[in-house]
Order: sequence, then structure tokens, then C-alpha cells
Amino acid sequence: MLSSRINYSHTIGIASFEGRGFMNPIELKFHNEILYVLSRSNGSNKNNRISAVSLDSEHKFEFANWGEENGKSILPTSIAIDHKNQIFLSDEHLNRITVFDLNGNFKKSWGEFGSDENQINRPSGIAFNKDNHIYIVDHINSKIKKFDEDGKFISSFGSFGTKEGEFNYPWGISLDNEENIYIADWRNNRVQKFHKNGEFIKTINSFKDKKINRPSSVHVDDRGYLFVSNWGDNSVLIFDDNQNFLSELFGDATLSKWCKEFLEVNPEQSSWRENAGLFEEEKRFWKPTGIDTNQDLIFIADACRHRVQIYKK
Amino acid sequence: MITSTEKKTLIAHLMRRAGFGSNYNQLEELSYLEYDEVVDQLLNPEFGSLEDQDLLDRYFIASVEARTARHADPQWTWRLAKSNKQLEEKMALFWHGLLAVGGIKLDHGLAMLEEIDLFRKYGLGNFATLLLKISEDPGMMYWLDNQNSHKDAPNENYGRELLELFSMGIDENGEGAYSEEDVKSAARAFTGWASKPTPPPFFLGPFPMEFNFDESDHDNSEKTFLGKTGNFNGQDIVDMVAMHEATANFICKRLYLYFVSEEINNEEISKLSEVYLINKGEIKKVLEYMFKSEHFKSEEIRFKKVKSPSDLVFGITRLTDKYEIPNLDSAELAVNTLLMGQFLLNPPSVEGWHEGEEWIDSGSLIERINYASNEISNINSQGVKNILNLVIDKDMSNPEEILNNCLEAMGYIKITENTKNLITEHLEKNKFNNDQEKVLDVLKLIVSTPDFQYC
Repeated sequence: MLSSRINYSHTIGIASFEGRGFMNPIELKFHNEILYVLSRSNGSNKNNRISAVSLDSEHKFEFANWGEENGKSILPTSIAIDHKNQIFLSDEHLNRITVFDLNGNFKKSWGEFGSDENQINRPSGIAFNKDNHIYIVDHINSKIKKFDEDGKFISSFGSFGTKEGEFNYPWGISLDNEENIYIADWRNNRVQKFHKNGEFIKTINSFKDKKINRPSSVHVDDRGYLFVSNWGDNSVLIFDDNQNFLSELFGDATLSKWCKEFLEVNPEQSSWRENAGLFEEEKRFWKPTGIDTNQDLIFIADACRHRVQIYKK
Repeated sequence: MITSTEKKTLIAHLMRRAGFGSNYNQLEELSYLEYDEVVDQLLNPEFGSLEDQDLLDRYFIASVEARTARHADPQWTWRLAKSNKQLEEKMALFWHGLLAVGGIKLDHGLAMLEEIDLFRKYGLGNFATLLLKISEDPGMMYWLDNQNSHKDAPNENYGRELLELFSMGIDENGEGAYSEEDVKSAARAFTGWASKPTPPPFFLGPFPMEFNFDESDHDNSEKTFLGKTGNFNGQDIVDMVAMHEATANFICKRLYLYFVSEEINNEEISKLSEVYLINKGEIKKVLEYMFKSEHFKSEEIRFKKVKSPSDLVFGITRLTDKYEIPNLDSAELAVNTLLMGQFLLNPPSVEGWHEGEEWIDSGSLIERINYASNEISNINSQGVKNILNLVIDKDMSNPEEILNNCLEAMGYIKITENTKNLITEHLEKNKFNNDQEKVLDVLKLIVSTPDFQYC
């Protein structure tokens, strides 16, 4: 059982408006030993960016900071890395998909606002299939749309509603090895699984005797295990490859390297923290969102605590 | 028997004062009710979370863990712009200005939002309960230094402001119906009332603040307060203060100034104070009496109050029905009130804002006119489309008719005859490419007049 083997590893992150650290991270991808972390913030606070960091907390660079021009973002929602080592970023204010190389250099962007089949209205989750086609959760249009990497529309499925195959403000997306599609159907409080042709397969909306509450993100690892950010109840759910419930995580964070360094040079803050003594509360997730995995590790974006909690599989 | 238009005009007046205004379609709907029924509806909102709370949290995640007042803005401004419970929000704004806690010192957006929610929950209820709740509010305790008030060294800040600014008040000579000794006794009664320590917000974001009563740091000795002697604690002080005649007068005067008129009318305020005392400090009863009074309904009261920046911004937002779901623009509504002189969640001092004519200076007036003019001419807003349809469907040949139809479509608003003449003259003198252009021009002129600064 996975649940008996999951162990907390460590935490990366500290709240920061710019540079080293994150501000409300909502998405992440681990690729070539680099963790790309998307900070959302509020659009009006202008602290959004993608940070590239190593697993031992080395801040390498950042890009996609606040702005409307090429290579910038306002209200970013998701990142995905394609089979050509390109980073794709969705932005629900600009209704735009922006493409970067792995060093954060701008390559191209596309996307047109609207409700026609080739248009998007507040794109949220994005993911690639094996043909290097990008699926976009077109959340206000209640559709999952497939485009090629240059933004040429291919197909779509879904509509607004509560029945099977319908969506209500969907958010995250992930594909398994068979290219089945999993959607965090956020306001319907469920995850829906679809065949790659868009045909409905099943709904996952409960675990033990509880209901999923506003799932923000889904992720399927290479073994088919399903991870769901149970955003409304501040936990992360893990299901096996048949979507049987295995485990629920509530957060186990310890102080990150950056936080320790901060407290070392700010002893008054350290004493303030000691005096409060909320060490258990400090560990917990607050609005967990993006999830990624590699063979050994699970990465969870802990949005309101400005950090990434990392577990060992 | 009043005509249908008179009834809608009266309800429109109520909605501008007890809320931020209603548009033409909303007034049509409200006019199926009697005026008193509309008052009752306003006075009895069901407390609860916002229907779109999850959307706000999703789109503005930094406001969920709001570290500062600026981070918290999108949460409150959305309610001010959209909530159907208009009086609940208007009262939250009233108490926010009277029981003022400023973000400049507290700098804890989460605590500020919790305080606003406290005003929603208790703001229409019993004043003693509200005063007790605000005395247990961790943000207030921190703001007025009560964490530094100890049984062997009481800090008088909270005790003094409780009497001077929050309840009994002082007269123009700086005299109150209480003595310096009463301030000292109140301070002693509140020793041990403080907020629990929270971790610093700088590295993990903020943690919710909580009230904490430390019995060991509370002065349990005998105190004399307002002529009575006993081992009083904070709750005893609140109970004595809340039912004092001076408090009835002070609170009713503030309510009168906020909802009715900037000109003090002692006779009307006395009537309200009587209602307050008879009903043991029930704010709802005072407001019911106030809104249903002939004085409030009279013509002499209408369009005489200067709109606060919030009245103007959220009034326009509601009139233009600009937002269906939260977006970046709605998240920045507080910037507009700030530019006009009202920094929401951050009143300038414990005295709150100086209202009335003081809202307007040359700089803020330009902001007001520019904002209103831009918004009323934004044809992408549903409310503007509705106004255009309503006006263009009617007689477009007579300038006076066009103007009157615009005023009606904007929610039965009124401007002076002199202003009317200036606008109709402008319409007669100028040529327009089409009806839409003509109506938009009139709308922009209306919101740019001095008349529009009043509600």
C-alpha cells in the first residue's frame, strides 16, 4: 500500500514578493532536476512569477513576472512542460498561453478570448498528451479543449452542468499513461475521468465517508495513482490506479531552509514565533493546489503558506 | 395615495441611503412591495457567507491569507459591489468608521476581514453585544494597545476610546458624561483582555488572531464607574455604558449623520435616542424607526448628503452592473475609493473618517468625476446597456424628455433645474451621430455634475 510508504521529506519556500521564495504558489512541475513553481498572488499585488529552484532550495531564476507584454503574466493559472522541453503557461486574465524555453526565455504566445471553439475564456489547468497536443481547461466555457502547440484548435468536449461529462468551474487536469483525462470539476466537488476521445468513464467524488470539497488540482503519476488537491478542506487525497482511496494528507511541513535562514537573522521574529507556539498549525496545508511527482517524490504547492511540501513515495 | 413613480422614487432614496443604490430594474421589482416592507427586508438579512465566496478565494488567493489590508481588499469590495444584503454591508461600513481599527498599525488583513464580518453579524443587533464583541476582537485589542494593559500597570487607551469615541462621546468642549476616574476604572476592568500571540506573518503568511483573557493579569479589585462601585470587568463596563443616555444620544447622532443628514436635527435625534433606550439598545429598532419616519422620507432630506467614496464607487458599480464574476478590475475597486480619500480597511485613525463635505476637495472631485464618467460610458457593462435600451426606446426628439428618461433609468435620481437647463441646452446645441452617442453624452454629463455628488 502506498499509504504506508508515504513519508514527509522536506519543504521548500518562504513568503516573498519577489526573488527567492514564493507568493501563493498554485502550480508546479519538476523537470530535469528543476522545480518550476508558479506564484499566483493577487493580480493587483503584482507578485506573480515562475521560480526555478533546485531540490536543495537553490533559487536559480524567475520569469513570467507581472505584465501584459510578451513573456509576462497577470493572473497565471497553470504550467505544463511539453515533449520538446517547452514550458507552457496559462493566464486567465490575458486569456493567453505563453511558451518559454526551460531557461524562462519567451518563445511565443497564443490565445483568443471568446466562446467559439477555437477561443478561450479564463483558461485554467493545462496538460500535454503524447502527440504534444495541449489540453486546456477552458473553465468559463465549461469545456476541455485540445490545441496543437501553436494554438490550432483540434477538438473539445464538455458543457456546463452537473451531469456526467458536464462541468462547473473546472480547474486542474492530468493525463495517465493511457491518456485518459482527469478533470478537477471544482464546483461540482468531483474528479471526472474521461477516455482520450472525451467519452465519460467515471466520477470520483468521495473517500471513506467524506465528500471531496472543491478539488483544485489532479495529478496521475506513472503508476496510475491519482492525487487530488482537496482545496476546500485543505488536504490532499491519494487513490490507487483503480481510483480506490488510499490516503489523506493534511500537511507535515517543517521549516524550510530559507525560513530557517530568515529566523536566524531575525531573532525577534524567531522569538515571536516561539512565543506563539503554533507549531502543529504551521505544518498544515492551506489551500493546496498544484501537485507533481517523479519516481520517488510528491510535490505539493501549499498556496497560502507560500511553500512546496515534498513527500517520499 | 402616492403614484407608482413617487413610490419608486421613495424606494430609490431608501436604497441610496440604506445601501449603495438600486438600478431601474431592481427598483421595478422592489416597487411590488410596500415601502415599509422594503425597509423590513433590508433590516433582516440572513447572516451567512457569500454565494460567490469560493470564486473570490479561487481567483484572489492572496486575499484568503490576507497579510495586509490591501491583500484583503478583493474580499470586502466584492460584497460592497454585489451583495444583495445592502444594509448589512452599509452597516459594516458604518461600524468600520465608528469602531475604527486601522490597517496601518494592525497590518493583518485576515483580522480586518474578521472584524468586518463581526459588524455584519452584530451590526444590526444589540449595541451592548456589539460593544462586547468588539472589546473581544483581537484586532481591536492590538490596535488600542490592550495587550500592554496589565493589572499592575493599566493602559488607558482602550478604556478612553471606548467611552470617548465608541459609546458616550464628548461635546464640543471636550467634555463627556464621564470623568477621568471613569476612564481609569474602565481601563482597569479591561486588564487581561488581549489577543493571543501569533507567529510573525513574514515567512509563512498570517495566522488567524484570537482573543485571550488572562485572568492572572486582570485587576479584580473594586472599581467605581459612573457612580457605581463593584468588582467590575469589561463586560460590566460595556453593559453600563451601552444603556447610558449619553450613549443613546451619541450612537443615534452618528446613525443620523450617516443615514439621514449632515445637519444635526436634535429633535429627530432625541426621538431616535428614545427608541434606542426603550428597546434596550437594539440598533435594528432605531433604524426601523428612522427609515420609516416621515422626516427620512421627506423631500428636504433627499439629495442633500455628500456621497462617501464608497457610496460613489459602489453606487456606480451597482448601477452599471459591471461584474458578473470577480475579475482583476473588481479586485481593484478599493483603489478607486482610496484615490477619492477613503482607504477601506485602513481608516486614518481611531476617529474613523471625517465625512460630509470633507470628502470633497479639488483632487478627489476630479477622481470622482473621471471614475463615474468612465464607468457610465462603458457600453460593455450590462447596466449601461439597460439604460441605453430604456432611454432609446422612448422619445429621442425632445432634449428635456431625453434627460428625464436618463435620470429615471439611472434609478430615479434628481438634479436641480439649473443643471437640467445646462444639459438640455448642451443637447440642443450639439449634433450627435446617433442616439446611443447622445444618451451616453447625457449620462456622462449627469455624473459630472455637482448634483451627482449627493445622495
